[in-house]
Amino acid sequence: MASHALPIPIAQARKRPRSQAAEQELSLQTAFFLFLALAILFGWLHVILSLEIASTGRQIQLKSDELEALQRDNNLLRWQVAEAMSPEKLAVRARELGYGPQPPLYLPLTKADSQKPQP
Amino acid sequence: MTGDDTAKTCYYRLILLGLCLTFGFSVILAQLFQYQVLQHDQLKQIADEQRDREKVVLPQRGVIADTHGYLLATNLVRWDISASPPLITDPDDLATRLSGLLALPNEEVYTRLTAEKPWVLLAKEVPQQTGEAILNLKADGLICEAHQVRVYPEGELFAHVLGIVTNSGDGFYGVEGFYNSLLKGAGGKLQIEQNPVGDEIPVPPLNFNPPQQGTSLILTLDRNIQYIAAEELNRALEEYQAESGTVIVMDPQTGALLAVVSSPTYDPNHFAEADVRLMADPAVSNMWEPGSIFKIITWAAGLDSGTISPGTTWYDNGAIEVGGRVIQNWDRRGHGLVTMEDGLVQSLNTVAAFISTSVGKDRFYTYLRRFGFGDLTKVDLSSEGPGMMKLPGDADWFPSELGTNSFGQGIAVTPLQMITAVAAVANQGRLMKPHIVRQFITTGAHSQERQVVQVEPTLVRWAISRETAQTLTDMLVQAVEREGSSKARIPGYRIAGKTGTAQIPTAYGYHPTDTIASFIGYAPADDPRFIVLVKLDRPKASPWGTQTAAPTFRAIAERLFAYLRIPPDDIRLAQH
Repeated sequence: MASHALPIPIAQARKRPRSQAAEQELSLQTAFFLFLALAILFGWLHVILSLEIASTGRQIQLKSDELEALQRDNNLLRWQVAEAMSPEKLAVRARELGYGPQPPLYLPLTKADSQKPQP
Repeated sequence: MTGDDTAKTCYYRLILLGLCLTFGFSVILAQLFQYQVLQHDQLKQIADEQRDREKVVLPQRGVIADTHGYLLATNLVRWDISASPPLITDPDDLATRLSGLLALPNEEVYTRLTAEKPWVLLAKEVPQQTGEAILNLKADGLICEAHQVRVYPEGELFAHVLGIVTNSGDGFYGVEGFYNSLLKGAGGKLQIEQNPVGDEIPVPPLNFNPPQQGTSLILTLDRNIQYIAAEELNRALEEYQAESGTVIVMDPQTGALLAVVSSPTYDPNHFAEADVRLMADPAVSNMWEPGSIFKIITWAAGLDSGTISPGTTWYDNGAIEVGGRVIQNWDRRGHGLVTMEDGLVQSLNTVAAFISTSVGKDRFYTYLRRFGFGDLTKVDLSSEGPGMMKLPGDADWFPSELGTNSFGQGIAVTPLQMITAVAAVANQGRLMKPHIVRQFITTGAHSQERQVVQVEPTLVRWAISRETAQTLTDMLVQAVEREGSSKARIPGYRIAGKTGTAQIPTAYGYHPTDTIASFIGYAPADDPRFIVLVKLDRPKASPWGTQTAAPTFRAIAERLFAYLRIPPDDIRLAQH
């Protein structure tokens, strides 16, 4: 019995499987390149971030050293100021300049003075 | 060989290669499994130990300042400079530069830098600025290690009261010793990564536990009053040729110490060169038989117990027998019928013995305990001594001690105990706890927020009643105004005070000539702003407190009136 199915043109029958395979190959290639691009991107990001972290760490270290040095200098200056301002040194300097302790002078206050109305 | 044979040979070779590769990868995989899974924990620990390093971060010791904030103790850095000769590239140039900075001969430095040793010491305890300059050379093989040192800008002035800090970072004596754990703080920890050579890898620390910085202290001491006291004490030691001495200035209303000075002293910046016997503070550690200034306590006991009043009379024939011992006056004379006020003004031992025996031993010693004798004052200074007071019932107490103790013999007190007790009389009978710290300032470990804790005055107890204190103050004013202590008088001011001339006990009885002269006084008598104790040991110019300690008190008080801006009494009272 003869088949009544529609005849498929030979050229068309050959073309379809070939195009499917090509499409599959293309999607695999795309996926591979996408994966590769992502891998490169992540690798690059990782390297950049590591570099940034190392660089920031170094900067923090330098700043910490700088802060420590400033604190040391500050302490030294405070000590020098305190030493220069000690009463012993001030007294010697004051005497050199002709100053000396003087007894305080109080003016006598009479009862009448203390009862004066305040302005 | 045919083509088929060649293909077969290649095929078997490929199989062999595949097997070799498979075997090789299997070995690698097995090893990886061994390292990554089976030995994971153990190897990770070894790796961490090699890579991670824990650095101890030392805290800054708290600073100490006077009541106005002037720095009394702070920290500086000293450097230890060493080198690793194999790492030095140009020893000639480095030696030239270092010799100039370290003030060492060029040849000596060069010899050390070229020594065939892995490490050589170049200099220790290098000052901060020199160390920083050497550090800035950034030379390979040069090792600069910093360590903290304690420095005292005022030098000898506060030596006894502040104490010292040794190279280990621990404080001894004075405030440094008493508050060592607070001042010292607690160390922190920093976990860092290092390379195989041991150099720090510049990445953020793995873990950081910051140090707890030491607490800073603001003292009640006033450096100007301290200077006045020290200057007048040194002048007195020279003028009266005394061996040593102590001056304490206190605010009687709060118990705050304003000045604590003893001489001879030492420089705490170079304590290693000082005599260790000078380091304990004589004001709190040394005890002495106080002599006549102790009569203030005897009179307080007599008045407060109601046994005597200022007008009570007693006939003084020059001697009184107590417990089998005859007690005589300092002038070995009888003064006839005297009032209790006369007895205090003329500092009569017989009257003192009469009062103590009349009060009775139990009540008399109860009063002594109320004034704090025989106990620590609990001042916040290291190495405080309790003095020595024998009590009835003790194996070494004799009935005669009731008589001798009344005028300050046979009982030993520290200068701080004595001034604290008399300050109670000045403070209307309230015995205050002496203290030297006004504020504690703490900075948090994780924040820069400062926490300030104020020290409030502490009332220990009422030693005597307000009325007794008032009556006794009036009698002490008379003691300055009328006799004996006239060299302590300052025109325009009512000063309450008492002199003392104490004999010095030796292994063979009392020393025939040497004495300890003292004066204790407070002013203005009606509203005391300060109380001063002057103690001069073995003055040669005169053995009497009236001739040596009293004028020293006056010199200090005169300057304190000016410094504290206390006008004469008539002006001050008119203002009120």
